[in-house]
Order: sequence, then structure tokens, then C-alpha cells
Amino acid sequence: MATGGGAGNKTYSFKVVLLGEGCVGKTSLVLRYCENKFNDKHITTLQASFLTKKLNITGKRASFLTKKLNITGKRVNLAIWDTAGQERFHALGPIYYRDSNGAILVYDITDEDSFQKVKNWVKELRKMLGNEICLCIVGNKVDLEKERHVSVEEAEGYAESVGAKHYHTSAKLNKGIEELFLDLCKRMMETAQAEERAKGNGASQSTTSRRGVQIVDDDPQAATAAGGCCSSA
Amino acid sequence: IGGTDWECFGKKFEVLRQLSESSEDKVPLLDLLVLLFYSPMQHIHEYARLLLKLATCFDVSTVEYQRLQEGCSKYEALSLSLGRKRKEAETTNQFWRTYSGKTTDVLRNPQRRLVYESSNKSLTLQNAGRFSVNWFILFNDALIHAQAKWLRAINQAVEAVLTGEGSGPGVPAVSRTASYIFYKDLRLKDASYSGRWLSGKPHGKGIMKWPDGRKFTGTFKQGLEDGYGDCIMPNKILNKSDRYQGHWRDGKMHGFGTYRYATGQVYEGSFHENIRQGHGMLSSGKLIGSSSSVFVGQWLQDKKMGYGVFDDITRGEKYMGLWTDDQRQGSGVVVTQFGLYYEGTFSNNKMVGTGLLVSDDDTAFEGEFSEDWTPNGKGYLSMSNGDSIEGLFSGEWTSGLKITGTYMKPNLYELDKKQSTRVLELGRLAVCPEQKWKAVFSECWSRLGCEAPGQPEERMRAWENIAVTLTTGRRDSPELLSRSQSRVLEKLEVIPQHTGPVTARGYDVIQRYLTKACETPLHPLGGLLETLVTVYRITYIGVGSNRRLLQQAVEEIRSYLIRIFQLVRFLSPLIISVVQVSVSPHHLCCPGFCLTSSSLSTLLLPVLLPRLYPPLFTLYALDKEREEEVYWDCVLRLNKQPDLGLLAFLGVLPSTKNACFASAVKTLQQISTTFTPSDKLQVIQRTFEELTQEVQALLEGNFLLSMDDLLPLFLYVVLRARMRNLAAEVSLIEDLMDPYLQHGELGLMFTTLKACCFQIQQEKTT
Repeated sequence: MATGGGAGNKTYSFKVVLLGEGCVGKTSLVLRYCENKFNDKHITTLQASFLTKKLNITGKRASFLTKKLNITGKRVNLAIWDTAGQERFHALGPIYYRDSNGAILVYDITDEDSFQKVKNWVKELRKMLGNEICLCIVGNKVDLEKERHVSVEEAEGYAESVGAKHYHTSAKLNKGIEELFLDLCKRMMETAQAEERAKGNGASQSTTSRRGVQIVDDDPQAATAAGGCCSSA
Repeated sequence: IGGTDWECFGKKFEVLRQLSESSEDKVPLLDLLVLLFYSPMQHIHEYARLLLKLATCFDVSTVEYQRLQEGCSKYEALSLSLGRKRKEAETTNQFWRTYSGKTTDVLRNPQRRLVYESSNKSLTLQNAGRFSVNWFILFNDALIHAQAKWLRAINQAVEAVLTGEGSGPGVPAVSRTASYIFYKDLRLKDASYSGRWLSGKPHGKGIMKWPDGRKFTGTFKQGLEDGYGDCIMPNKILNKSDRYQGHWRDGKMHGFGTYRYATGQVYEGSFHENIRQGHGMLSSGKLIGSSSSVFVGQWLQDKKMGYGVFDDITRGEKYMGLWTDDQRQGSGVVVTQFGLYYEGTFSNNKMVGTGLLVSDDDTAFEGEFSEDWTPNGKGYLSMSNGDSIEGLFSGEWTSGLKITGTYMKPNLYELDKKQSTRVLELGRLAVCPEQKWKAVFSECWSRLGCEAPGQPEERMRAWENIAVTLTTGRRDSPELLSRSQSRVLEKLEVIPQHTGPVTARGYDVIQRYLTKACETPLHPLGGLLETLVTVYRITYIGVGSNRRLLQQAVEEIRSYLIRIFQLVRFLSPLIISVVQVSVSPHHLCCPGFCLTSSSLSTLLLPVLLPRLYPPLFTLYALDKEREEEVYWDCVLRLNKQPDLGLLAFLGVLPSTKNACFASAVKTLQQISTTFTPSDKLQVIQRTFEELTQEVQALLEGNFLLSMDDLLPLFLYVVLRARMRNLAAEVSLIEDLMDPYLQHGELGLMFTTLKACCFQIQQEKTT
């Protein structure tokens, strides 16, 4: 087992939960990021439900995707959990976001309601998980700028006021998505490192801990599997 | 043989003649018999020659040659010595035939041999009267009437006797079967023994009966009961008998055994020099089983000491806690058949000191106690609606409490009542799980021949002990073992070998060994498991089936896992490395997460959990009773709708209208037929796969489900599966699943099931 030392071969595993109203593009966002795939059709004709391309990473469902990256020499495994956005399932939120390291709150810039929904989520997450969770507020569908109903100033201002970062993305045009995830990973790593320091060295890496960072032994596959896109020095 | 009685041989005489292979017809019977008796002696010489011939087949320098030579010379020496003895016997015989003395009868004795007599070897008495006849006969043990030749002969004869060469025929065999009544031995006075003997002492299987009616049937060693034995000891006062069946050492009850007291009590467990010590179970009723009070736990010097569980049927209470000198002393928990729960300290068999008492309706009192169920002193009483009283309490719980204190109603200004209800924190005052059943584990360690926890250098010895235990167990087994059973035992004696890098195969080897070992009570691990299952069932079945014990029951299983893992790791150091790079199938489906914890559960839960499942699951079901009620209500109500209606109600995609997802429903129902969380998770995974396949078939081409659509679909499947106790299943999986799976895809699938279970309960209002 890896020890708490700073450098060395260790891998961070983070759980990131995707929250937001239905049809705002949660799934598309992750699909674009993990698989670099996008299908216009599924958004327009099938209520953002089915993609016509098969993913080979985790079977045939887009509700769970993983991504491996390499940030400043450290390996990061991201597990991205999709959630159901329908209002009737709102109460299920806590079951899904439990033990998350990060949350991506997506709204549709053409839909004022979806932004309101994000605000509700932020309130709930801060109340339940405190400041330990890294929040990203994402205005998706910037390709539809003409139909924008949520103003940039309002959204960014709100994000700042609650300690979250704001991003403008388009899953369709693959805009802003890399930055979003890279940024989120860095922030989660900082939080994790701070937590490690607070816990002190040694035994604190309770490997059985359900929450938070999991530090695991070097996995030789990870080195090769890390997507080239995010590798940086 | 003096008189030659032909008749006593009858027709057999012909047989004798044939045996002697003599051609003459009229050989006297006596000579014939003599010839026959001596004939084996002639063979000895033949044996020697045969060995010599054999020896020529080998090279002079080989061990075989040496051995054969040795054997040959031994045979020759034997032949010579027998020849000499025969000669002695013949001369003695000759002497007696011609003897004219009068004291023949006194002197004649089969062992006695003539050495010299003065008629052929002159011996004269000095100063003897001229006419007196002095006849001296020297036997190997006596000189009748009694100089240089003579003296030497006397000395030789004495020496021969002393070195044992002279002991002729008639000496009893060293080992034999015989009966005997003791008259001198203090312990065995007047006892009669029939059975195997060795060197004049009972040794081996035998039966000993004492005049007072005591009877021991079993094995002896050096005159003492040793090994397995069954002993019946009459109790005169009760006019019944005590009976002990079990292991003995040095004449004392020692090791594992069952003692049935004349009083009806039965003790099953460890003995140490006639005294109950170690882990044991005492049932007080007429029968072992549900109709009797049972104590199970640790004993020291014939008294309850350490952790133990006492199921008292006369009071309908079960105590699980610490004992000192047969008294409840220290921390413990009591549950009653009426649903009362107490945890706290005990002193002199009573609830004395700080304790927490919870009644079935969640009314709880925490404070000082002075008697059983009697608060006395400062305390805090909280009611199920959230109201509470703090103050001084006295009186018995069941017959009214006297209170001087303050009443608080915290919910007066709060609308959200759920938030403010204090969650009862149970188990703080109970015995911590690692303190439970220590004797059971230390007995397993001692069966392996080491102190707990074993040191790596003791490993080989432990394996030897396993092999010895299994072999003797196989040999001494009362019923005949089938060939396959024997083969299993034989296989278990072999250390699971694995070399090189850790692979799926190596993991399998160990997993298989472990499974077999745990199924075999003769194996120390199997024995341990059997005892653990017994104590677990005694603890959590019956009155112990109380929802407030759930957390403790789960913790107890976790503690077993850790302690069994310690044993397994000691026996096979390889395991630790195998587990770290886990290879079981479901790890492969989440490539994003390699294994982080040394997952005890992957390796050990499959052997442990199926046996503990019924009591554990009952506790979960009791714990989730209220949720289950709401859930089941809703399941029944929603299931009244036809497929289409229900799909629409749940908001499932219109394009999947014509599906009924029967195979997914069927798959999911299998969850209740599995025991371990990993098996249950696999069922969930298979359900999702079935679901995806059905959707794909419907929509043509490869589609992907986002959670927005997956959740309603899965909710439909869960509803149609109509599973009882779903909340209990979910809760069990959550508590015992591998923590590292939680963030993986299986984790998400499980979370979705949990979400559905929760959602169904919410649907009540809609």
C-alpha cells in the first residue's frame, strides 16, 4: 500500500456525481469527455436518452463512465456517476452523491428553470456535505448562444458566491469540457492532499475508508491507459 | 506328557502323522509330538540360509547386504540358542525320567532346568559320613542339598538368570488382552478390567468397572484413561448417572467432551484436568435445544469467566456479556422476549452502574441502575416522539418510575420532526466484538500448535498439526468414512502450493482449499467455523432476534472475518499478496479501480456468510420492518396496474412501450437466493445486462441508456420483481460489500437498486 508521502506512485480515485435537470446534457457532457463522442440525434429525437454509438468502456450504459488521467505526474481515476434529473426522483439525490469528491451541476443556458434547479442542488450539497465537495456549475449548450436565457454574469456571480467554479461548455462542439474536468481534478487533488496532511502520515490511509480518496498501489496498466489528452508535465 | 493317551487325539492322530511327514508307521505318539513341536526350529536354519542367499544378490557395500547379513546371523544365533535350550530340556527330561528321589513333585517345574547332578559330575561333601549318600542336584534356580567346578556352575546359573537368558517358556507376552480385578492399586481397588494390556498395565482399548458402578469404556495408556473414552458415573443421591463422553489425558477429562449430568444439565466443551475450562456450552433443560436455558462462552476453573451468552428461558431473557465466577460482571447486553433492551454494566449478577434501557417503542432511559431493570439516580429519559425528561429516577421500569426532573418538548416550534428525533446510539456499553469468543479462537490456534497469533516460523509445525489432526480424525472416526470423504481429508493435508507471480489460478487454489477446510469439522478451521456458527446462532436466534442487536451482529461478523483472516494468513502467507491483486471476476468489470483493501470479504465471506445468513438476515428484516411495510404496500398497489399503465406512470420512454422485461425481472428475483454481497451484486449486474439487451432489441441498433431513462426502467423491474424485504437486502449488501466496489460501476448499480427501494416507499404519497 502506498504511504502518505507526497510524490511517488499513487493513484487518486475520485467519485464525481452529475446533477441537473433532465435534458440539460449531463450524459452528453461525460460521453464527449470520456469517449469523445456526440450524437445530435439522441438529444433531439429521443429525449437525450440513447446514443447510437456503442461504447466499449463499461458496457452499454452511459450512466457510469470512468476516465484515467495523469496530472502533474499523479494518476487520477475518475468515476463519473450519472443521475436521473426528473423532479420526481429528486429525493434520491443523497443516495447518489454520498461519498462524492466532486459534483458537476449542469444547466441548459436556454432554460432558466434548469438554472434554478442547480441553485437548489448547491444549497442541498453544501448543507449535507459541507465544503469537502468540489462544485462545478456548468452552463451547457453554448452552441445555442442565440437562445440564451441565463445570463453569464448572473451565473458566474452566483457560482462565485457559493464557492463553486463556473464553466461554459458545449458537448456538441466539444467546447470547454476538457478544461472543466481537468480543473475539477486538480481541485479534488488539492482537497485530498489537504485532507491527507490533516490526517497526518502513515495509518491515515485507511484503505477501507468509504469516503474520500483511495490511494492504491501502482497499477502498471494505468500508465499506458492514461489518455494522452490530459497528460501534462 | 507321561501317559500316552491315544484316545484323546482320536482321529486327529492320523493328521498328526501326516504333519510329521514321517514314513514309519509305528512311531510312538510321544516322539511324534516332540518331533512336531521341534519342527519350527528346523525352519529357522532355513530362514538363515535363505537370507544368506538373498544377500549374495547385493553388493557387499550396500545397506541391503548389511541388513540381510545381520538378519542371517540373528537367525543363526537364535537357532543355536534354541538348540542349547533344547539340549537342556532334554537332559532335564532324561533326568526326571531316571530320578529316584522322593521330592519329585515339589521340584518338578516346567521352567526348571538341570545343570549338574553329582552322580555324573562328582561332588563330595567334606567330612561327610562314610555311608551317607550325598547327592547334589543343581538346577538353574536351585541347588538341592548342597565346590571349584560346582561353584563356577552356580555362578553361571545365577548370571544366566540375572541376564534374563534363563527365562524359559511361560513368561506372559508384553502386550495382550486379558481380564483382571485389581486389589492393591488405590485408585483401581476392586475394579475389574478387561481389555488390552501392556507391561502389566491397561493400555489400549478396554473396559474398567468400579465396584461403585462407575464404568469407563475407552482407551488407556500406561494404566490411565487416555484418548477418547465414555465414562458413566452413578450419582447415588439422584439415583441417576453422570456420563462423560470425550477426551482424556493421564486419567483425567481433558480436551473436548460432552458431560451429561445426572441433574439433566449437559456441558459440551473443553475440559482441563477434570475441570471445565476453555470454551463450552452448558444447557440446563432436559433437552439440548430450544427448550432449555443455555450458557455458551468461556470457562475458567469450572466457572463462567470472560465473554458468554446466557439464554435464560425461565426469565425469557438473554444476556450477552462478561462473567466472573459464574456471575454477570462487567459490560453486557440483555434482551427480553418482550422487546426490552439493556446495555450497561453489571455487578454481582445485577444491573448496577451506568446503563441504557430501550423499550420496544423506542422509549429510552440512560442513567444509573442499582438492580435489574431498576434505575436509581441521575438519568435521561427520551420518548419516541422526541420528548425527554432529565433528572433523578428511581423505581422499577416495569412498575412505574418515580422522577424528580425536567420535562422537555423540543419539537414544539419545529415542524420538521424527523430531524430532531434523537438517533439512539447502541452498542457503546456492550462488549466490543474482538473481545467475544476469544477462547474459541485460541483453541483453534492451540490446535495448530501455537500461541495466538502464530509466528511465521511456526507455520510448518501448524501444517504438521493439521495433517496429524486429520489423520487421527480419519482413523478414529466412529462411522466409516466414504471414499470421497477420505479423499477430501487427504487432500486437506497437503499445503496449497503456489509459486511464481500471483495469478487467478493461485487465488483459486487457496479459495478452494479454504472452502473445503471450512466444510470439514475435523480441520481446525472447519472446527472453528462450526463453533462460531453455533455461538452466533445461539446469540442471535430466539430472544436474541432483536432489531437492536443488528449492529452488534454485523460487527461480530466483521470481527470473525478479521480473526479468521489472521489464521489464514498465518497458514498461507501468500494469501495477503493474492488478495491485494484481486482477480475475482467482478473486479475486472471496473478497470478504473484496482483493489485497495486487503479484501477479507472476497475470500472469507463466501465461506462464512452462508452459514450465518438466516439469523443475520432476520435481524436486517426486523430492523427494516417499518420500511418494509410501506414498501410492500406500494408494491402491491402499483403492481395492480397493467404493464403499459405502470410504465407510463413511472415515466418510462414511450418507445419501450411493448416490453415487459420479464427476464430482467426474473434475474433480479434471484437476489434473495444468494448469500454474499458479491453474489447479490452480480445478480444486480446481470439484471442490468438483461435490461440493456431488451431495450436494444426494441430500439434496433446499439443504444445507450442515460440515468434519466435507466432509473424509471429499473424501477419498473424492481416493482415487478415483487421482492420481500428488499430494504433488508439492500442494507445487508451495503454493510458487507467490499468497500472498494462502492465507487465502481457495481457501486452505481447497487446505488440504483437502493434508490429504487427508497423511491418505492416515496411513491406512497403520489
